[in-house]
Amino acid sequence: MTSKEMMAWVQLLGVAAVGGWLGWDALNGGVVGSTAEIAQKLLWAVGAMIGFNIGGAIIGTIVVSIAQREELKDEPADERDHAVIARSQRNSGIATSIVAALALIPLALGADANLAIYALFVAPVIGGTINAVSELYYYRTM
Amino acid sequence: MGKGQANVSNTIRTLRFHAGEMTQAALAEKVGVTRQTIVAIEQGRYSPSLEVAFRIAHVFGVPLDQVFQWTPPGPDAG
Repeated sequence: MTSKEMMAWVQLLGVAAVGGWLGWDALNGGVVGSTAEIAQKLLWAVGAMIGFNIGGAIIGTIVVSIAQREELKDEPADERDHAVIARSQRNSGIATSIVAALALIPLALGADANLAIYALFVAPVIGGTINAVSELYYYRTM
Repeated sequence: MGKGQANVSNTIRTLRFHAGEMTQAALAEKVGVTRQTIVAIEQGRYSPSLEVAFRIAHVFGVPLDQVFQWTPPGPDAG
């Protein structure tokens, strides 16, 4: 496993962990609230994901290095990395745009405006997830 | 790059063998790419840029067409 693949896995785990927390919160009535309350909660979620990625990168590097019995180094990106990144970002951009556009539909039909706050959070998170999944896919197939 | 390159084959594994069993890591360092990229090229999963292809040939001291071979697609290919 390369450093870039490990970071993609960390990102996916971070989304799963924070998504799990938000899902659990939603099941316990956390979906409703004022716009400010929802935005604050989602800001905490963003902070949690950033923290998870930083911590996960450190722990992941140590764990993978021990497992592979070789120091895991983040090598400079070469042309294949750039190709993988470009394709992954393309997929991510498409996914983000679709989710953001779909979120406008219920809002146009008169849904609660707080949905827009969730869309602001969910669209880039889904985009990031698609980016990470795409990187893992392309690194295995090209 | 990287797509639709099924008709491109290479002899990098053989050339590495004849170069004193040069490791993929050593070749990667000489070419200036990652070892994973050399692995992908060698397995035919990734077609390198023309520049990297020339660099690989230069490392082995052989012409480009001795490293990479292209077979025209058959009549069945779209």
